[in-house]
Amino acid sequence: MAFAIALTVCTILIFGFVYWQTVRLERERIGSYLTVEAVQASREPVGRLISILQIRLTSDLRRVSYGALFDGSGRRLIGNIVKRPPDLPADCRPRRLDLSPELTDLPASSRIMLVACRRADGGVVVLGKELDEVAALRAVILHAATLGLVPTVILALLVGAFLSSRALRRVRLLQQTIGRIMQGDLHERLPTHGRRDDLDQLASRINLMLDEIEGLIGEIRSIGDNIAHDLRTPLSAVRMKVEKAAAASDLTVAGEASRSALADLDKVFSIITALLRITEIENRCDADTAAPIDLASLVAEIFDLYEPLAEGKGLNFTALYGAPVWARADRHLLLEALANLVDNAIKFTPPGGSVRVAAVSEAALPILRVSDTGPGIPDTERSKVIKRFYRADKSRHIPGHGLGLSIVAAIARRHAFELRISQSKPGTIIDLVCQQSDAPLQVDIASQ
Amino acid sequence: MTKGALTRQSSRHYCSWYFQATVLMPSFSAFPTSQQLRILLVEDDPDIAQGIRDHLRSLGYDVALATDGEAGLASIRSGAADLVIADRMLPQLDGLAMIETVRRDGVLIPILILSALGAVDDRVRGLRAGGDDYLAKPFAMDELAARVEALLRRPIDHRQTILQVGDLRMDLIDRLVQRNGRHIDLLPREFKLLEYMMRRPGQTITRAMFLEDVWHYRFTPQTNLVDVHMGKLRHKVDGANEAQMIVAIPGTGFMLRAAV
Repeated sequence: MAFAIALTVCTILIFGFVYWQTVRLERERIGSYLTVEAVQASREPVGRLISILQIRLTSDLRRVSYGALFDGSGRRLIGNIVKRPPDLPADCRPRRLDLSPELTDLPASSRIMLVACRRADGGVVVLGKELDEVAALRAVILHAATLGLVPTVILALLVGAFLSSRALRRVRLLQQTIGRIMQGDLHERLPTHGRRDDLDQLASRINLMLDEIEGLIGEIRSIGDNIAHDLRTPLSAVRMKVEKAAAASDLTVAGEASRSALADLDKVFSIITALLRITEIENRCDADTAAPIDLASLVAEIFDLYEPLAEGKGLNFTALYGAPVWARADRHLLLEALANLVDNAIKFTPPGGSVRVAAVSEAALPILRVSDTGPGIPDTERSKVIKRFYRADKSRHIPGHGLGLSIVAAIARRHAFELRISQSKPGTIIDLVCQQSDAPLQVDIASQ
Repeated sequence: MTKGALTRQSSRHYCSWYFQATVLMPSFSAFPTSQQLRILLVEDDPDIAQGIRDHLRSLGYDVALATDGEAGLASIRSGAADLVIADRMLPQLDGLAMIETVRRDGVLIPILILSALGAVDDRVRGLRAGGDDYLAKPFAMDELAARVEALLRRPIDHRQTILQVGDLRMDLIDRLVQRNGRHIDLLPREFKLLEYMMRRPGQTITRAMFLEDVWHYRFTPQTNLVDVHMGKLRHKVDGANEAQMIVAIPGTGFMLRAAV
């Protein structure tokens, strides 16, 4: 409806403009013709001018032309204007005047374009033309406007109704689809029409969001499956052992079974703790705990912590660090990430191999690097290993909850750090690329 | 929130309590003692309450039970406990609110908080409310017992410069360790571990306590690093022909005691 009104107003404005321009042009055209003619006439000899005027006036059957020649005393020599109108100066310029009936021989007397020019002999030539043609033009345009406006308004109403019903239909379609999605059909996507209009763009944004949500839900679902699987195995072992303990008549057998069941339960709890830890890292919304920390000191600390373990396993464990490498991070979380990386490297590298932990600065970026000569991670499995619970098939027998890299990935995400996994021959290189930070003004020795 | 502020806060309660405790129990070197220590357990889950009560009673403690916050508060105010073990989620009066009230009253007995919420934030909140230690459920009974024991112990005198347990002697200024005149060469990390143990002789120290107090880690490594470090230390402290001083407590942790 608003559309129809707007269209109508626009049409009227357009017609008005056309009319105004046309009338102005027409008047200017008539005025300039008359001026040229009058200037020319004022130079003609009297006798010839009289005959020219006579021909002009007699041949004008429509009676729209005016013309007259007055001598120096203002007496009319020829023409259909009785007397020079007082408000018409002889300056060869077109003027729109009303000629009163006593001034002219012609019946119509309103709205006339007149030009008066003085001759060299003192006489005055007056030429004129009625503006009836302009009035006719106005009538034509008004007519056209009325005729044009009605269909325009109707058309506007129809098109408006059509467009809005189409938009409504699309909105209704979207609503229905959203309803289906809300009922749990997450594969459903909002329809788009390939036009890049607002509704389409909105729908495709929402579709992107749905993709993301579906991915996350899928991840949660697979986590659920994984939890079920990874918990079910130790839990069913616990069940068996408790059953055995309950049935045992011998106290030592019962004690043995219970202790074994307890160990399995601890494993279950460690999985749950790690899962909660990931959630906590990902969703922690407490104040920003990041501060400048020296990666070299972190490497030294972790090296100190894991050296006996690596030594016991017969690994060549080395740390590489020199000048302080400053990065901005939460010290506890980064320590946890590095501990997990080193833990994994030591766990998966066979005896006799080597593990190296280093703090380096490459291209102005501080990097924590853990490299080992273990089995390595094939290209195809690299993104999978970061997913929760994933463990390369070959390593199912190695103890651990399988969540170490997920914790590292969560810590990296929280800091917007990059986790790079690459292959070395043989083994794996894992880089945690941190954000650079300036050295703190004053090193807090107590916290080191 | 810094860890420093936390420990300072909790040790303040601790120190003031120490004066009361020394008056009550002048000699406190052997444990458990002849006098029964009274523990108030505030826990609404009957199974868990019974489990804890039985275990602590078997260790020689006198355990009273309150099943909600109001009852717990009344018991604490009557002065019928030497230590409180309080669940965080309690009917009537929430565990944290109960502890805050107790602390406002100026009661300084040690309080151990139990909670199913194990996240760092919850831990910080619990300690800030006035708890002295925090244990997340599920926990091993031995872990609980070790922490109760640690809380009831005589506070550590940090002015000492020489620590002596049996024939093991540690000079904190010269950083020297000797056993029976035999010099023991320790790495800095081993020295730190042994110092921690020598300040707590005859006391069970759990793996979690080592990680929290010696390394100040807020996470649990996947591999049992504590055992590895302890193995090395033990190897150095207990020579080939010497009696064992560092004892492993199966499933719980370690203890340093004078060789018999």
